Formats: sequence, C-alpha cells, structure tokens
Amino acid sequence: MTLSDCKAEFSGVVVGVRGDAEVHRRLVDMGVPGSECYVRAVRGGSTLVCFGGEFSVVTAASVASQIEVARRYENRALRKSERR
Amino acid sequence: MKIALCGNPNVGKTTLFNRITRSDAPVGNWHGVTVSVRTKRVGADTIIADLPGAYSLTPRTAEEKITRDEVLYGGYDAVVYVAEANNLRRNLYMFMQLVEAGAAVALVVNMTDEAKSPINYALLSSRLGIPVVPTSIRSHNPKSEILDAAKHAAAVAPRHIPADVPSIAALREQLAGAAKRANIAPLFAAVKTLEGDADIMSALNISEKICGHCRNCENCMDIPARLRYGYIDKLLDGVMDKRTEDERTRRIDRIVLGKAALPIFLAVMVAVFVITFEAGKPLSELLLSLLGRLNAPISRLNAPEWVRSLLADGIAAGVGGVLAFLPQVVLLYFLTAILQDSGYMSRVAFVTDGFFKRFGLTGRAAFSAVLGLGCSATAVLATRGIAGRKARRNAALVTPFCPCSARLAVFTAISGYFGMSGFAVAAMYVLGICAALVALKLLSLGRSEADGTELIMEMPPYRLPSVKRVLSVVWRNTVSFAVRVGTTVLAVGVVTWVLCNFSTVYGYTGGGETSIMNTAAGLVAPIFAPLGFGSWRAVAALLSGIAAKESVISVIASLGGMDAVFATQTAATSFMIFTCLYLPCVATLAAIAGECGGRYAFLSAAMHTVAAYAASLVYYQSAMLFAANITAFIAVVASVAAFVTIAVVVTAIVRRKKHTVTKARKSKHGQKT
Repeated sequence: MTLSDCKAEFSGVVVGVRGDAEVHRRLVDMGVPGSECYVRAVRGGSTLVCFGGEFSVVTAASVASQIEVARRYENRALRKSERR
Repeated sequence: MKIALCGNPNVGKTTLFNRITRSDAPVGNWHGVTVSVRTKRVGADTIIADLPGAYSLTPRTAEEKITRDEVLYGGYDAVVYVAEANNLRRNLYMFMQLVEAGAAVALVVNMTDEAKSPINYALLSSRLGIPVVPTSIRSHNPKSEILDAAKHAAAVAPRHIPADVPSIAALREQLAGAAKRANIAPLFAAVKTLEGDADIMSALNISEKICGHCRNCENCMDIPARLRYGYIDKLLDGVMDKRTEDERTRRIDRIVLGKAALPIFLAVMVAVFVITFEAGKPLSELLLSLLGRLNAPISRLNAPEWVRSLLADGIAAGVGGVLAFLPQVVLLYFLTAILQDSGYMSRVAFVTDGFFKRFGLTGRAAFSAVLGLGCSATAVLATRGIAGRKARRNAALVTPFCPCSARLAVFTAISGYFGMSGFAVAAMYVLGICAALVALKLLSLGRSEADGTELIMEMPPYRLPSVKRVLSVVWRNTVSFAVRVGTTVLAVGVVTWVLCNFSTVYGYTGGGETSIMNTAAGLVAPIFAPLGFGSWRAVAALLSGIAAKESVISVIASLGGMDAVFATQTAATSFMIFTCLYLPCVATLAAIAGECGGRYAFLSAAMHTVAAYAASLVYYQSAMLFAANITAFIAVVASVAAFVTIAVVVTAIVRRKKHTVTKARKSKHGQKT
C-alpha cells in the first residue's frame, strides 16, 4: 500500500518510492526510503508524516501515492521472505 | 577570503550570519525565508555569503538553484555547512554532496540547545577528519570558531563516500576529461551522471543516461544516495542516540491540524485583525491630536507664506498623517512575527493547501499572502519558494491584491474620519483576498493539473517565539515603514504640494483651480466620475499612491483634508475600494518585473487597475441606485443573482455531460485494447 491509503496515526516503514523522477529524487535525497514513518494528519489530500523520528514533511496526494509503505509487522515478514 | 554559509532550510544559517556580521537579515521559523544571496564583509579580508536553504545539490526550486550555482561556480574559498542537531542524518546528506563536489567544507552543528539527546562532537569530528563547531543562539558568538573552521577547511578536505564502488570508479575515469573542461570535480560528475542530473549532464555535454552496470537499472540512479546514507549511518553510529519524535509538537498538532484546523486558523486571523485595529485605535488618535498641535507654532513662524504652507500642508500634514497610523502597523508586524516564529505559519500552509490547490497553487502561497499583509514587495520575493514556474508567476501577479500595511493606513484614515466601523476595514481585506482568488482562477484557466506544484514541504517543530527575534522583525519592518515615510512619502508630499500650489503662469497661488496639478489631474478626473470621486484632488492622491500607498493620505491631507476631496461617505468608500485594488506601488512592480519579467509587471498593473475600476464602479452605482430607488436596486440585484445562478447551473450540466462522454470514450477504448 501507499502513504495515500494511510489514515492519521498510521505507523510503518517506507519500503519504496516510485513514480515521477523529480519527486523520487527529492524523497531519496531526504532519506525517505527505508525510514520509519508515522502519519500525523491527513487533510484535503495532503498528508503530514514524520520520517525517522527526525523530520516531518507535508506531501500532496500525488506524492503520497508514490511512497510505498508497510506496517512494521508486515515489513518484518517482507524482509524474511527476501532473505529466503 | 570568500565564505559561503549553506545548509538545509530553517537550520539557522541567517541567524548565524546575523551574529557573525552584526546584520539584521530577516529570519523566521519556517522554510523559505532567505530567497536570495546576501553578502557582507567581516574584517578586512573576509566576505561571508548567506545562501538560500537547499536539501541537496539537485535543485527543485529557484532558490535551490541559486544555492547550487553559487556553491559550484561562485568561487568560494570555503563553504561553512550548517546542520541542525536534531536532524543530523538528513542534514549530512548535502554535506557529503559538497565534499564530492570538491568544495572546502567546514561543519557547524546548530541548535545544540534543542538537541533531544547528547551528541559526541569529538567522535564525529575524528571520523570526518575536520573540526565540528557546535553552536546555539544561547551560546557565545561563534564567529572566531567558524572562521577558524573555514580556514582549516580550505586546507584539509573531509573524508567522503568511498569512490572505489565499481560503477562510480568507472564513470569517474570516463568523465575525467569532460569534468575538467566543465570545471566540475570528477567524483561529483560521476555520481551526478549516475543520478541522471540533467543540469550537470548538460554541463558535461552528455545527452544520454549512462548505464551504471548494476543488476537493477530501475535502482541505478539511487546508488549514490544509498551509499551516502550508508556512510552517514556509520558516521553517526555511537555519535548520538536514535531519534524519537518531538512529543510537544505531536500533541499540539493533534489539535491544530485536527477537525478544528480551519476554525482555529480563522479565529487566529480574526484575532490578529481585531487586536490590530482596536488596540491601535486609541494610540493612533492620540498621535493625530499631538501632530495637529504642530499647526499653531508653524503659523506663528516669521517666514514667507509659501514656507509656512509648505511646512504645514506639504510636510506636517502629509507625513504626520501617515505616521499617526504607525501603532496599527507596528501591532500587525508584531502579531505576524509571533505567528511566523512559533512555527504556526507552516501549519497554515498545510491547512490551506487543499483550498489553494483549487486555484492552481499550493499552501506555500499562504506564506506570501501573510507576508503581503506587511509589504507586497517582500511577499512577491517570497514566491520564489513556490515550485513550478507558472504557479510562481501567478502567485507573484496576484499577491499585491492582499492589502499591505500602507493600504491599511489609507483604510484606517478614511474609515476613521467618516466614522465607519472596523468591519469596513476588514471588508477591504476580504475584498482583496476575493479579488486575488478570482484573478488566480482566471489566470489558471485552460491549464491542466498544476505543473510541478506537488507539495513536499518540511514542517518545522513548534518553538516558543524568541523575544529577540520577534522584536528584531518588528523593529526592521517599522524602520522600513518609517524610512519609506521619511523619504518617498515626504518627497511625494513636497512635489505634490508644489504641483498643487504653483501655477505655470502665476507662480505661487496657494492652491485653487489654476494649479499645475488641477490642470493635469483634471484631464484624467472625468474617467473617475462614475466611481464617485471625479475630482482632481482625488486623482492627485491616487497618482501619488503609485510611488508609495502611504502618500495617498499625505496628499489628501495637504489638499484640504477628507471633506475637500470627498463629497459623500459613499464616494470615500468607493475611493477606499479603488485604493485597495489598484496598481501596486513602484517597489512591488519592480519586484514583479525582477521575478517574472517586465511584461508581467505591466500585466499586473493593468489587471489591478481594471479590477479596482470594476469593483469601485459596481459599488458606487449600486449605492446610488439603492439610495435613489430601492425597488430598482432590488430588481437589478435579483436579475444579476438569477443570471449568475443560471450560468453556474448550465456550466455544471455541460461539465457533467462532457465528463460522461469522456468516460464512455475511455471505457470503449479500454474494451477495444
């Protein structure tokens, strides 16, 4: 699922960033892939999310739909299957 | 020695710049305060440049491009990189890029007083191989440590990401020649080419993406970023504890950004305006009465009549009339400075983002709108932080519709004289904002979904507004207002007095129908007759407002006061509406020309004047019709309302039909394929 599917108080991990090259570049440069994320608020198509416990970013819906996330326990299962 | 201060937005670069150089550049607790390069000499042989904030050397906005170009091609002897203590991991990313680019970089870690856990600066310094300077606003002035670190940086380079990764090493060899010709470090050329940075590739004369020979082409461009963050994580291991979210900010945001977000925002804005007008009124009236007492001593002066007239009507009445509204202006600056410094402004952008999107902008435009309450020229410059060329241009064109502090002085003078309530002034702000929104809608017609206006905006934590910073902002803005009054308004007042009191034939006439201004403004005055103020005095006041809006009041005062200029309260209100919307002052037009080009400055002037004329005409003619024949007035209003309703309904029906047809075509096409 993507960040745009998440409601407020969602806690998870960013597993990938897809889509538009410019936005992808910016999110990768900010260290978003692989970091923990917590959704603080969702409003009018924009999502306020805290990454890595360090900084909070407001993303528009079109950007949030490019960020793939997994809940923490889902991510553990994902990593187990990758190790196999 | 030429030193650049750079780093991520809102890390305190400009605050440090101000401390080191004893300057008073604008600062604020939100991203995008600094939008241009500011330089100052320190001592005999050092120049320090404050660059706009940037997240990386791959720019997304105009201000980031300025920073990238300055760092790569600005010829700096050293770059002092400012990082935030609570955000070291992300902040060190651009630091690594600067090292790859071959810049002589020194590291300053700012806001150490706000660090959530202790940081081992000695360990970080030993791993990087360069001194790390911790600093905060509560510490002593770090000028000598920073200058020493910059000198050290010029001599010793920090350690960077390993360049022996096969893909990067190969590219480095391949691009060595092109990099040398483009005056770019080979390592930087290699990593940016792998990332597909179009600007760097263009500088290297590379038109096609070069394969990095990794197993997964989709992730090829991310190899440098992964390497950098891997290196940063190793650097920071043991240097600081794992970060957790700021609990105070989280709790406040739950309320401020929750279901009550919009009501809270509107309540805050209403409170700002109510306090500004009501608290400032008694002080304003006191100042006016004090200034009025100057007339007696001037009239007793032993000097020629024209000298006494110049002092009383040209200078005292004009400049004094504007300065009397200083209390309201100062209060407005004070309250907006508190909002900016607390971190609430960024929340405003988040809350209003959905609203601005309907007009082709993002919530970032809220910064310009609030700055425009103080000064339109500053607000136009702040539009640099908006991503997307068209969005930036549209925001710059309509920002002057937000009434600035100078127009506030005009509204307050007119409404105060005619006994109108504070709601009349508030209505002007509502009118300005509505005009801006209509203009935005018209400017964005025919465009598809906003290009490049996706919002990725960092939200700063809440901070208690710093008394020093708030007072510094208020002082700087107040001085700027007073200087404008003391120079432009005074000059316009004197020139207007000369034009109004001298005739080309008779010399000094003391005013009247034969003056130069009467003749010149009288030629244009009939155009404004349908608006209710077709007199040469009103036109003279409007013309003076082109230099500075505060001049409108000073000219009215020097031409005999409100009674001489306006026949009725309705005419005065119509004039107020016109002043609210007509062309911006010269400083704002110059800012628009600088940001968008002279053509758009002209378009802005025309757009504002047409809007002002239309609004004023509708108001005055409606008011006259209402006063003359209320039945006819109701009939006209009802007809207009019916016409607008029919137009909206027909448009909605047509749009729905179009949408249905398009949907049917798309599903047909989908079935065929």
